[in-house]
Formats: sequence, C-alpha cells, structure tokens
Amino acid sequence: MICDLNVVYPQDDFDVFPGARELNKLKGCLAVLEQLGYTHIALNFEPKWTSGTINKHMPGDIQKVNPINVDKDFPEFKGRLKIYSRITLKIDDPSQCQNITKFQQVFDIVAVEPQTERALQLAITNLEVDIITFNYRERLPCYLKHKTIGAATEKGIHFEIKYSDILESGTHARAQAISNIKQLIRASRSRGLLCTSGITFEERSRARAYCDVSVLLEFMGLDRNRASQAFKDWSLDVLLSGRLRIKSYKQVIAVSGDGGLIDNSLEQNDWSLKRKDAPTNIKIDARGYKKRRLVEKD
Amino acid sequence: MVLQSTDGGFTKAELLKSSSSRKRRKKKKESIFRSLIRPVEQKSGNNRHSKFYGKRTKNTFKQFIKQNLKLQKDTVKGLKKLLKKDPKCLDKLKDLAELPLCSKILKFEDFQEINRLWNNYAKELIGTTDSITVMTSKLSTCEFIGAFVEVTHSGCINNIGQKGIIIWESQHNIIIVVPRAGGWRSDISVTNPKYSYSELIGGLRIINKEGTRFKFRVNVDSESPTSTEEPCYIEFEIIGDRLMVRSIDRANKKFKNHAVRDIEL
Amino acid sequence: MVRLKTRYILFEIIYPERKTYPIEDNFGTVADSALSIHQPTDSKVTGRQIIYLIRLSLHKNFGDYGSSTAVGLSMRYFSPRTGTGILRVTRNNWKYIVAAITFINSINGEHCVFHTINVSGSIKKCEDRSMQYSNDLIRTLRKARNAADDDDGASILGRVFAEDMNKDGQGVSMNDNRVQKQ
Repeated sequence: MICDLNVVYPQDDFDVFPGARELNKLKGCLAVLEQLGYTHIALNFEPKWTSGTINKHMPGDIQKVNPINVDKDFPEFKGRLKIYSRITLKIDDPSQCQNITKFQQVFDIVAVEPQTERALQLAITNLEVDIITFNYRERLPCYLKHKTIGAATEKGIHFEIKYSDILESGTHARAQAISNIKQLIRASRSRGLLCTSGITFEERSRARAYCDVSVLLEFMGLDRNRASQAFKDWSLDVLLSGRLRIKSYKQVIAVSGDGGLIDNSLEQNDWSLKRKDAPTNIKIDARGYKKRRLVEKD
Repeated sequence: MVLQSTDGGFTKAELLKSSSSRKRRKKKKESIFRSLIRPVEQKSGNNRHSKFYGKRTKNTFKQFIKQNLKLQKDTVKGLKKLLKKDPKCLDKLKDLAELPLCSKILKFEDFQEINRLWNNYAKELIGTTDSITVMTSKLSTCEFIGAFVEVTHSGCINNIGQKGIIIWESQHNIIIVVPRAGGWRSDISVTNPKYSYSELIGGLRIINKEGTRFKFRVNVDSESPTSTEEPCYIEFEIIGDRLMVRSIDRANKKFKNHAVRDIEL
Repeated sequence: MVRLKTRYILFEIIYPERKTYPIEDNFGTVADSALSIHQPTDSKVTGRQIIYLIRLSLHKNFGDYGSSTAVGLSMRYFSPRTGTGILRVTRNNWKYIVAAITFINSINGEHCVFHTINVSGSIKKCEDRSMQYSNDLIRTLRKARNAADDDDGASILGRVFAEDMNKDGQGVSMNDNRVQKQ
C-alpha cells in the first residue's frame, strides 16, 4: 500500500467547478500514478486565499463545501485506486480557525499551511488537523525547531514533503525547496514525515515511482527505511486518523465497513446527490453502512 | 441509559434460575451475582451459611473465573485421554455437552437470552438517528455485557476469529463465552472443519483489550416495518486500545482523539 | 584478489504525455492505461544517447563531483521497443546514477519518466526481474483482452501490443544470454 496524499484538484474556488477536460486530465494523472504502483490517493482541494479572507467565499451549506465527488466523477477507478478527499487551508490568523472543525466532517483529511510562526504554533497546539504543509518554494515562515515539530509528531500531526518541488531544475525555487526540506528533516529527526507528489493535472510527467523518490530523499538525509515509512506507514496513519474522525466517536467505537478502518467505499461520496431526507452532512450518514439481514422464518 | 455493569448479573441469575439442571452450580452462581448486586447488605443477610459469606465480590468472581478456566483445562486433558482410548467415541455424539466430562462447562446457549435482551437494548439506544457521530457516541457509553462480538484484530493470533457473548468487562480484559465448535473455522470451511480440543468444548475466553478490535452488530429496523424496508443491521467496531477504562468509569469519561500510532489498519 | 564491484540498474521509460493513444482518453481500465503509458521508445534513441542524457543530468544536478561518478557507466542492454534497459555502474555510485535518472524528464524533446525497476549486484537477477515485469504487464493485458472477448471482441490495439510484448519478452532473454556470454 503506497500512498500519495496530494494530487491537486483543479479548482480553487468553492463555486467554480472544473470542466470535463480538466477532469479527464486529472484522471490521466491518476492512471499514471496507478501504473507507478500507488494504491491510495488523496485529491487535494486548495481554496484560494488572500490574507484574512477564508470565510468570505465559503458556502453556508455544508454539503456544498466539498466539491470532490468521488462516486460521480471517478467511477472508472472503483476497485483500482482508493481515492480520498483532502483540503489544505492556509492560515495566518487565529481568528479564522473556528471553521476547521466544520471541514473535518466533510473531508477525509484536513491539512493546514501556516503562513506565520504564530499560526504554526496554533496549528500544533490547538487545531485537530492531520497534516501540516509548507510552501517549499519560498522561505519558510520561521525557523523550524525540534521542540515544536516534536510536539506535533507526538500529537499525531504529520509534516508533508512535496517531491515535485525538487524535480524542476535550474531555478532558485528548487534550491530553496531542497534547503527547506533538509531543515524539516533535521528538525523532525526523520520522524512523522510523509512524502507526496503535489502534482497538478497538467504535470503528469512529474510523477515518479516511490523507489526513485526514496533515493532522492536519501540524498537529503532521510534514510531508506524512513523514506519507505513516509510513503507507507505514516501516510496510512494520516488516512486512519482522518477517517476515524468521520467514522468513529473519538476513536473508541467505529462504524465498520468492508475493507478495514480507512475504507470509504460504503459512504455516499456523491455530493451532488439531492435527497429529500438527507441529513446535513452526507459523510456522517450511516445509511450506506446498513446491510441486509437475513430473517429466520419460524 | 447508563446501566451499571451488575445489571447484566440480574438477567444472568434469572436465566440460571429458569434452567433446571446442575443445581450445585446454580447455587454457586446465584450467590455470586447476589453478592455482586448487594455486597453490603449481605453481611447481615440470611445466607450466613453460604460458602461466600463475608467474602468480597471481586475475589469471588475472580475465583469463579479461575475455577472455570481450570475446569476447561482439565476437560481438554480428559478429552485427549478419552480419544486416545477410543478415537471414535465422539462420532456417535451429536453434542459434546452430552458427555459427562463436559457437562460442567459454561454453555453458550444459556447466555443467548442475555444477548437477546442486549440486542433490544442497543436498538432502543440507537433509536432512529442516521448520523454516525450520534450513534457511536451513544454506543461508547453503553453497556457491552450481553453483546455478541467477534474478534477481528488481535496481537494474539489465537484470539482472532473468536466469537462469543460478553459476560464481563474489566479495565484490561473482556471475558466472553464461546460456543462449542464455533468461530472462524465454521465460517470458512465447506466440509467438516477440524477443531482443536479447546474449540470443541467452548466455554470462557479472556481476551485482552490491548491491540484488539471487536466487531458487533446492531439491528436498525424501523419500529413499524413497511413492506419496502428490509430488515438490516449496522456493524460497529470497538477499538480496544481506546477503551481501556472500567465500564463504570466509561459512562462519565471524556474521550479524546490521540495519535493513531498504536491502531493497526 | 580485488574484484571490481558493480551494480546493475534495470530501468524503464514510460510516456505519460504521448499524443498517440493519449492517457487522458484511455484511463478506463488498467489495461488501457497500461497500454497508453508503456509505449515504445522512438527507434532512433540509442543506448549511447541515454548515457549522454544521464551524464548531462548528473552534471546539472550534482556538478563536477557528480559527473565523476559516471566513470564506470555503460549500457548493457537497451530495447527501444519495450523501453527497458540495463545500466552498469560502479557500486559506490549507484545512488547518484538513480537520482540522475529520476531527474531526467525528456528524450528528444518528448516528455518521459524514467522508472527504476530493480537494482542488483548481478545482471542475471536484473534479467529475471525484467522478464517477470514484462510478464506481469502481459498478464494484465491478457486478462483485459479475455474480459473484452466475452463482451464484444478485444480492442485490436491491445491484442497486437500484447503479442508484440510477448515476442519482445523472449527477445530480452535471448539478447541477454548473448550479453552474458560476452
């Protein structure tokens, strides 16, 4: 089970949906990743962000928050890939963070991209998120200390490395990305990291197989075993904690599907579905989990 | 909603009263459960001549479990001996419980009544809601004694696939009663499966919660069944690592999300 | 006696952005996407050209120090038809070479991805792995073809390609035997 938890979904606004051409390209992207051996893929929705304005564009109806219709738009990949939805929120101000609990019910994985040191501190201590990511092409918001990163790892928050940033050659951005990733690996002492592609639908040829990337990571100071964990164990941990947030009550009792705890095949992923008696949120609807019971006739 | 765990004992005691055979064991068990329910009052009670007079509930229960486990162990030995003497002696028997050797072991059938009661209780508890969050939060504070569970994941491979009715839940262990010749083998095998001796006789099993997941079903039929609606159930999974509290404390405990390092997929 | 220690790298070139049989229209089944990605390399591409590309990439990404690791670099086997090849490098430097291969993103102006399948100490194991890999690929295609036969006849392209691959799979082993004899 090799995971790639960041394939960018071609949409950055809550209202503007991607066209058929973009979706087809995205599916091509998924097919390439499948051929390279990946099995679990998360589609990443990154809403547009300008300083301090996350709530403005957000629709009030919680059903419209998640634009990714796995059931409706990706029927071809049923049984081939496990597709999850992920949201990446940029935060710089503690006042915006009340909405995050709302997102947790709608997306499988919630990631944040802190823009300031205070936001990073806040994300680690207060927010219940799965992934913390950075924009590696630019300078990091602050110097990463082992104490903060270690606290996050202890809490179960993972840090993301995007390998597509270091494939583009000959630019200053790549040098910056390499130094940032090295800093992250050093500060985290090679623990609690996960490696993702971060490719968009147009950059299919940026996808690489996991064993190639782990050699690259070895050059940056992450040893072979840890690199494999970043793709397998730790990525699955992220998926598990994200899924348990939806499927269970505080990780104590979970609804059990057919394929283990991270399986999302039984629930309604088609958000456009209009049902009269649908509850406010399809993801936490238990109807998909109902199974027919054989009645003994006496 | 919050049943004290000893309430399960009531039903058990009643159940055992109704069963006619094995008077000696009945007496013993009744007194156990009475002591479970009213440990203080018994001091001045009339069963001064009881074997358990003046003893603490906890110890008595422990003793009972220990005795039963020892009995099971001895029965396995006895069965082995018996089969050595006469390898075909089991072929004529329909049920192993007919053997005088195995008659004292706890029977799964005796506990099915508790399971029936628990099923109704769980169904009522869940009610008509469709939200996973509401369901699971209600179930996390409910009583599990009487539930029919299956062990799906465990650190100990012998525990995986055990199915039985919970009769006791402590901080670290869950005690279940398993049927004779049941479990995963009967599910997957088309022809006659081969059971080990301990599987043949059934009885008590103590299962550690750590690293273990239990699966159980709750029926969710509507109250007034219409012709279009199918009778259906939902499966839930108890994650043992996160339930390491006594069932009495569980009612008031505030659970928290933790790092999922210890939960296996 | 001191022996020269080497590593053999089995790699494969895949084309996610080919215009013929493009992936964005053919993701429907595993076989379709496999067919559109594993397309034959241009027959003009030679092993020497790929070595040159690797040296270029080494120089670009690791500088002069990196270039020095390409000393023992040679192409033992390359088939444009299947896009697979076996490289021979000195043992200490294999990571540099694999990293350099990973950084390559085009041949003759066409986008491609180099995918390292296996790194081994003996060429025999590399051959075995390559045969196993192409057999796996053929099996997925066959499976799809059989399923399609049940419906309404196979996609012709799939059939032809599968048979080609099969022949080539045998070709690999024969060629490689020759390599070994040398």
